Amino acid sequence: MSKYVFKRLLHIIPVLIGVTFLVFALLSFSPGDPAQAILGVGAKPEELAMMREQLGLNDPVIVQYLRYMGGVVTGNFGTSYSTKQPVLEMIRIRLPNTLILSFGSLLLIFIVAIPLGVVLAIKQNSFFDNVMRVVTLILAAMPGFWLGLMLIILFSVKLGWLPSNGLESAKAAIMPLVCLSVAGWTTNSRLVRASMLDVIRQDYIRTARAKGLPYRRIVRKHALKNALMPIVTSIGMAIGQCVGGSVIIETVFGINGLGKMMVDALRQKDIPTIMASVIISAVIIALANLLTDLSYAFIDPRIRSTYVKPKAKAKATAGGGVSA
Amino acid sequence: MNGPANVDIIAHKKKRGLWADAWLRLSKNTTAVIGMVMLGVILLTCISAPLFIDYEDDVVKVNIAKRLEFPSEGKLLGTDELGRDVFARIIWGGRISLFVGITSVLIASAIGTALGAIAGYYGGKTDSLIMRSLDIFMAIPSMLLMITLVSIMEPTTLNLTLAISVGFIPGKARLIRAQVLKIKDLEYIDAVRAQGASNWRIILTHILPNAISPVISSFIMSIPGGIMTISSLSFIGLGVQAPNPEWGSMLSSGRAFIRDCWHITAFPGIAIVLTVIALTLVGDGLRDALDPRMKD
Repeated sequence: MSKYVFKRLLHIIPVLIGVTFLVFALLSFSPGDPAQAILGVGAKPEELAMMREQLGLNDPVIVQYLRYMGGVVTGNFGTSYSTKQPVLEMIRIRLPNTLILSFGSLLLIFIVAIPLGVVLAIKQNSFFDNVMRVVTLILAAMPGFWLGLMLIILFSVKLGWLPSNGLESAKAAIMPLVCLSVAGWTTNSRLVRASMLDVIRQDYIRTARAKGLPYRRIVRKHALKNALMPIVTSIGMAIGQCVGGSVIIETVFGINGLGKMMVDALRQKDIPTIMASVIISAVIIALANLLTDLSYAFIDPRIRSTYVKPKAKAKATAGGGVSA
Repeated sequence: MNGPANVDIIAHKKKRGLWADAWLRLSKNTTAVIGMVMLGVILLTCISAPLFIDYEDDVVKVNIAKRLEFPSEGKLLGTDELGRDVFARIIWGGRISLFVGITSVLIASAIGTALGAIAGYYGGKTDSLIMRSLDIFMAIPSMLLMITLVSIMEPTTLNLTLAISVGFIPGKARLIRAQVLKIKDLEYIDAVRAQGASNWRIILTHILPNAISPVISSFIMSIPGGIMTISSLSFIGLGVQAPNPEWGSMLSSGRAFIRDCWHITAFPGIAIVLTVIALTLVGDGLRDALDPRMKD
């Protein structure tokens, strides 16, 4: 098991190298001059040339890339071209907001989606089920940022209950978190419903009912655990969506987070800041994927066994495929 | 157990039957029909827009005297901060949103299908190379990837479409790869190979037709994602540029007037919601209709 984890952690490295090189190369070949961005429009040509030399922009892209990555490995993310601050410091200030948004909405998704999906499965084809089908269809069709604007009109402008920007208080976090998690509510509650319906039709559930166990207990203790397997997959994917979605939601609610920092940096071709945001989000996604795969093993003993002897298992399935 | 001629006839009948059967099931599905009607009306209105809306006069011409008017009889959905008719701009914006949404997914489906089929069929090193390269694209949240791509290119409609399609390629490739992996070990493929068919012929005429139905429904179901992406990009100012109308950029410019003039932000969003609902209904219906196991 630990060998598997180690192998997976090693796999993150080539992906990170690929991602960083891709973005670095794209940025180098794109139009726009970082020296101009730093010195402003009024800079003289000789000043620009000196700045370019100082930043090492005249070297081949691969040399620039290696120099940058050498810095990253030793914990030096460089200095922002536009704000002149160390990038690490800028991230340190903004990371908490982005983490609150990403993981807060993730938590909210599962607090809402799992119970809702279970209830919809138990009350399949009831009036409530049908109403929720329409409601989730409409909610899923709403872009998060538009929902955000509509909530601002209702709760900030008309009713004056909630602040429309920032993330200073718990009250201010309500609307951004709702906007980020709505998409997750709809897809995951449908997923839980479908997988719960699959499980409660199985024989062992009938056995449990025949034993005379109360229905609530069967649902909670026997069915839910097995029904949650597909949800784990969607946790991994939801993290990516939450990190990506927070870029837009940060703009809507004027929250000072990593996403907003990245969009601003892209406008100014602030390469160190862009690269750092890309690396951080790629690491978050890679770790999330790893945790997802590992949690399968912890939930399901059958999957755990495949990690022990992967080769024997592969042979067995291949053999089975031919004879079938 | 059947002779080759028999198999041929059965396969032929079955193939024709599948599509006719799928259409029959689709037309019996009330929600899918509602979706198709909605989608038809939306597409027709957007395509025929030049017939009843004058681009220069109604969509882009600034008319300060009539700015920020609320919906009334003459102006169905009111006017925006520059006095332009919101209704005309939504219809014209739909042309751009729908074009970008549909085209980007179409490009991604074509490239993704090709890559996925090659990876799945050849396996081994080819598979690793293709799938690991696509993993790189999946390692960044697609929204961040697109923002990066869009910001380094000129924001023309074509560039935006291409950038958005990149985000969809890995998903499509994985989908078709899984299908091809399932099909390529079936006995009829061995039979075709024994008859001397080339690899390309096997992929194009014997595997893809059987692997394509999930791609078709996923094509329809990805279009909402394409529309949402282009509106998100325009919303943060990296997408379609002014004065061209686009649903997301209309939302973005209406934001400043949110306190008094809700109609500028509300209506373009409703256009997105209605379009996405229509596409979802059609996509769901198509998925059920093309998958024989989903009959109940």
